[in-house]
Amino acid sequence: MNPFLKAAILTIIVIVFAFLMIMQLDNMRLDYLKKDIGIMTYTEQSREVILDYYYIMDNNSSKLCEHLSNLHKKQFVSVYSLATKMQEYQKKSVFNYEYEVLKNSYFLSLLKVYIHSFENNKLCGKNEVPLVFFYSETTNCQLCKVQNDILSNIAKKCKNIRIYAFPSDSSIEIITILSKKYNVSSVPSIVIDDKEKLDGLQRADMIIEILNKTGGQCS
Amino acid sequence: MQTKRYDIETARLEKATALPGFERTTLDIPKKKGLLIIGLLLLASAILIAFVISYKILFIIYTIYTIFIFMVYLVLWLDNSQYYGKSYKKIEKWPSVSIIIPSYNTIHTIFKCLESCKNLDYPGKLEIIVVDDGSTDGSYEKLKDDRSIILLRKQKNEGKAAALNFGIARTNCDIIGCVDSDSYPHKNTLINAIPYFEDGKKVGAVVLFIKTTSPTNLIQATQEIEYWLACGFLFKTIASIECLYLTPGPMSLYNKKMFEELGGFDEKNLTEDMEIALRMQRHKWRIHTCHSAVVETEVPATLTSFCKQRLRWARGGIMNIMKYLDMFFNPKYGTFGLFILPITLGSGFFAAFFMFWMLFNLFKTTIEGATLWFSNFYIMFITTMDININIDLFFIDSTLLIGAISFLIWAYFVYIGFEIANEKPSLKHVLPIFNMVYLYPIFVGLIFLFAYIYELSEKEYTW
Repeated sequence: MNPFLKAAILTIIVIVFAFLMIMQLDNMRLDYLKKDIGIMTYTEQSREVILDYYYIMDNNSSKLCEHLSNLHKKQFVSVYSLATKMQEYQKKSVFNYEYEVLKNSYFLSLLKVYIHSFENNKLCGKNEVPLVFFYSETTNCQLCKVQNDILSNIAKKCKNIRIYAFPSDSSIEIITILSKKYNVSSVPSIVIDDKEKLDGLQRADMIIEILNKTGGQCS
Repeated sequence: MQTKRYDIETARLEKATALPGFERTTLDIPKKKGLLIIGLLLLASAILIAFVISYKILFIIYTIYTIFIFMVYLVLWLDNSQYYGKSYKKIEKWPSVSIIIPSYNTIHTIFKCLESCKNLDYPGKLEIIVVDDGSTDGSYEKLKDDRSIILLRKQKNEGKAAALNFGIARTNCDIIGCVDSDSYPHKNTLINAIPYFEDGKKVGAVVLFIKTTSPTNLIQATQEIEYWLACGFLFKTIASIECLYLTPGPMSLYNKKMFEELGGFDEKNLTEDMEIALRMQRHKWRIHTCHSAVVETEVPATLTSFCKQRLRWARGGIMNIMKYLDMFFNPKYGTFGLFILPITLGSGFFAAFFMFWMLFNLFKTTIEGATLWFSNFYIMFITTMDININIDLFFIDSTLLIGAISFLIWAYFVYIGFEIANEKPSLKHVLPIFNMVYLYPIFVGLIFLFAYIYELSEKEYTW
């Protein structure tokens, strides 16, 4: 047999094999992300069902608050890590068209958690300090990465805070509305407790100071 | 050609006369500037396209190309194993052999070279001719005392090819061994290699296994691996399908009849060893390889001399491509014209192209990484905070999987190279092999590009 034909056949076999492996790896990555996002949406759904139950069938507000705060504590919100992971995984995958949908559903779930936390505060009184971190998705923002590292450490130190991260240049409309509400013009930007806005890279001790003032219980 | 005109030592040269029909070739290289410009434009457009389309697609295309070529070599290697084991031990009348050593200011190496040439084991007639190319370092005067060699003197320095032609014209041996003055053949080189000429076909040359002398630094160690891969694995493989395009300068054995038919070395060529091989291919003379015949050669030890050497090779390569352009994609020359030549050119082209791509990416990631680390350190110092390190199993780039396959095949070639060279892989080979993977492609690309630009600007040739 012609050696070139032989080589061509071998190449095709090898390439097909390689692509199957790539597909497998890409799918494993996607499944991993989907699992985390699935937990988020599931917890958010159970919150809605619990609210419905107490509004329609049982008007016991003290039990409702207990349930809500339990669920809220259970809710999986990772700082910016899941979003970063998604971005990295998208870069690293060959078959990556599912990521846009996945990203949108993640941010919408995160927004839901953020907005519902205000409702929780209204119903049951304030029990934690929300911190919103705006970063850039499209531009290469090095300072955002640094700020993310700092915030990840703060999250470990403080008991009573919750950090939400959103890309200010996202195509999701509600994020744009939110960033307009807080007058975010540059990244990185931090909004603490719905009112205190900090522009630019912030040092950990500065943030902790403000958080302690608003009841973040940081060490 | 008048032998007598060169007065010194001619008394011992009475028998040697200029051969009838032997002419020195000084073939001019056609100036095909337009073609060079087209090549450069092609490269530029490829780079432009590379920036537009996703790097993943680019990488996959490149890797598929590489895997195919590797597969061809792999198939050839596995298919032609009977060629490599072939022995031509039964020889009745050993042909006469003439070793020609051109020498120009080589006082440091010529004596070691001569010693190993004199030690050559050979049952037939063996003569050693040193052609002094107008040396000025006193090596000629020192060589004069040696009665066992034939010493010829050229008054004017005209380069290696001219010196070789000068020597070839003055011998009437059947086989001519052209040896560089910095190369040392092993004892059994001739006895192993000469039988390959008794093939029954037109054998123009026998290529020997060129090794480097034991390396003293990383540059030489990298070249050592490269020689095992190129002269060992690659030459053996493509010689099995009669497609060898190079008869290495350090030492190759030529058939005198081939010179009589095709003429001598091209004296204006930068890589006359490649030119003669291409000429042999054109006129259907066979080139064999013999890997049991080992020749050690000195290789550049400094980066400057290494670059200089490679630049000369690359320019010579481009020069000869121009000269034998009609052989490209020419079905008349079979596999050689349709596959080996285009692949050889394509590799240089791809190397130059990927050099840009890699350098660009390297630059980008370095800048990004440096900024991040710098800012992190800055933050760390002012707030005494520890840096997060995330280790993630899924952090592998998918395209790397496909790259890993081509790397594995390449690693197998390196293993074959080790086997051919009779060496055992050890820890000291790790860094040179790493160099071959990461730095060598960038280096080759840069050299190819510079050679191209020099050729285009008609920069003067230097040896």
